[in-house]
Amino acid sequence: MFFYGFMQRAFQASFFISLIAPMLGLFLILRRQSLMADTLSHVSLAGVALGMLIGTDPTITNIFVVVLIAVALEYLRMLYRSYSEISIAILMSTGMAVALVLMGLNDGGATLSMNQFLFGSIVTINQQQVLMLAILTVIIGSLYVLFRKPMYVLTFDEDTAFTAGLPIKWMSILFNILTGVTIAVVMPIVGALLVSAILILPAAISMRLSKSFNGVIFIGMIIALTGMLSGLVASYEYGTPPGASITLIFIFIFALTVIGKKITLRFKQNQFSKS
Amino acid sequence: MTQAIEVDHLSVSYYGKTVLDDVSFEAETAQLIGIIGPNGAGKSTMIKAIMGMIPTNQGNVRVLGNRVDQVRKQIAYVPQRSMIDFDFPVLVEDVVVMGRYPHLKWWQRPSKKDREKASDSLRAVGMEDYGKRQIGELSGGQQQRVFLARALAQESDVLFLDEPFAGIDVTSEEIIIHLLRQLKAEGKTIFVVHHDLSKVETYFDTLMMLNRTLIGYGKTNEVFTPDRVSETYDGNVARLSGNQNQVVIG
Repeated sequence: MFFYGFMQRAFQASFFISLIAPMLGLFLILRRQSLMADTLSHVSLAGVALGMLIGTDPTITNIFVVVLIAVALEYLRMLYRSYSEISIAILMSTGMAVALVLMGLNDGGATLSMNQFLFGSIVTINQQQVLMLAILTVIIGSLYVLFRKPMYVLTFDEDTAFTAGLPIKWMSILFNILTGVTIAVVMPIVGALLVSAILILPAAISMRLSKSFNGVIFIGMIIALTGMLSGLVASYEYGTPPGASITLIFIFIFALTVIGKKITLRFKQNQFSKS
Repeated sequence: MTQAIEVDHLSVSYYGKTVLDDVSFEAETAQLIGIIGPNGAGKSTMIKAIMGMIPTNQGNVRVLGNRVDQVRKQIAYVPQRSMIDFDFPVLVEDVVVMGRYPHLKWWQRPSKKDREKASDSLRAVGMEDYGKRQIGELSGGQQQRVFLARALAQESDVLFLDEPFAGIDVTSEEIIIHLLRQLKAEGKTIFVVHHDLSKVETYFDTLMMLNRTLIGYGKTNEVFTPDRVSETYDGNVARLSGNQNQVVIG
C-alpha cells in the first residue's frame, strides 16, 4: 500500500495533522472550546456547499466561510459571557441549515461529493492539500513558538493576562481563525463529522499522562501520529472511512490510558499499604 | 503620605442592575486593608473595576497617582481560588513565573533572573519543594500560597487579594498573613477581600465595609462597630459577645 501515490499523500497529510492537532486541541480543551471545533466543522459544510453551488474550489470558499464564523464566534462569546455555549448552539445549527439549503439549491447533484466531506476520503487527497497542510503546519508551529507564553497565560488565567497587558481579544480571534482554517483544510481528509475528534482526542488523552504543558503537547503528537497512521492502515485494509477508523483507535488508546492509570494507582496503593 | 489608590464616585452595573453604587475613597500607601461585606456586595466587582478589568458606569480611579493602564504592572492580583482551573497542566514553578510576565514584552521569555525571582518567591511562602508539582496536586492552602508567590514575584506596589483565606489550613493562613504584614512594612498597599469577621480586628489596620455602597471606611478600631456591621450585612449578624465574635447568619 505504501507504493500507491494516494497512500503516500495520506501518510504525509497525517504526519502534518499529527503535529497540528495537539497544539490546537490542548488550547481548545483548556479554553472550554472543545465544541467549537464541532461547530466550525458543521459550518464548514456550508462553505463546501457554497463552493459547489458557485463552481469554485470548495476548500477556498470553506476557508472564507469558516474564518468569518470563527470571528463571529468570538463576538458571540463576549456577548454571552456567562453562557458561551449559546454561541455554539446558534452557529452549529445555522451552519448545518445553510449547508442543507445550499445543497438543495444545487439540485442534489453534489450529494456524492458532499459525502466525501461528511465522512472523509483518503483516495481524494491531492498534492495541493498536502502542500496546504505543510504550510499550515509551519504557520501554526511558528505562531505556537511566538505566542506560546501569552496564550498560556491567557488560557490559564484571563485576568492575569489582562493585568499583564496582553492583547486578549486579538489573540482569541487569531486562535479561532487558525482553528477554522485547520478544520477547513483537514475536513476533506477525515470528514466533517469527526474532524473535532481528531483535534481534541490526542490532547485529551495526553492530559492524563503529563503534568506539564509541553509534555502534554509532545505526548499528544506521539498519540496523534500513532492513531492517524494506524487508522489509515486500518482504513485501507478494511475499506472503512478514515476519520472513523482513526477516531476509534484514539478511543481505544483513551480506554487503555484510563485502565492503565487505574492499575498503576491500585499498585501504588498496595505498595503504600504494605510499607 | 502618598495616595496609593484614589476612587471617585465609582459605579458599576451588570445587565442594568447596579452592583456598585457611587463608591469614593482614598487609600494611603503601606496599608493592609480588609474589604468585608455580604455575598453580592460588590467586593470582587470593586477590585476588578479599580484594576480596569470590567467596564464602569461612572467614576475615576487613580493608582499611584496615574491612570490604571499606565501602572498596570504595579498592580498584582490574586483571584478567588474558584476562578482557577486546577486541572490545567501547569507546574507550580511556571505559575509563579507568570508573575514576571507583566515585566516582559509578550514575545520575551522569562530570563534566568526572572526564574530566580520566582524561586525566591516560592521560598518566601514555604513552597520551594513543590516547584515541580502540578498545581492541582496541592491542597487549597498550598495553592493559595503559590498564587501569593506569583504576586510577590511581580514586585508590584499594590496588591489585590480576593478571599485568600477562604477554605485554607491554619498554617497557610499564618504564613499568608505574616507575609502580608511584611509587605505592608515594605511600603506596599494591600487590599484583601475577607469573610471571617472574628479575625478582622487582628488582621487589618484599615477596613472597608461594603454593601453595594460604602458603609464604612477607616481605621478598623473606629469603623468596625456593631451598628455598621449590622448595616453592612443587612442585619443578618448574630453577636456572641462584645464587639468581637460576630457571626454572619444570612
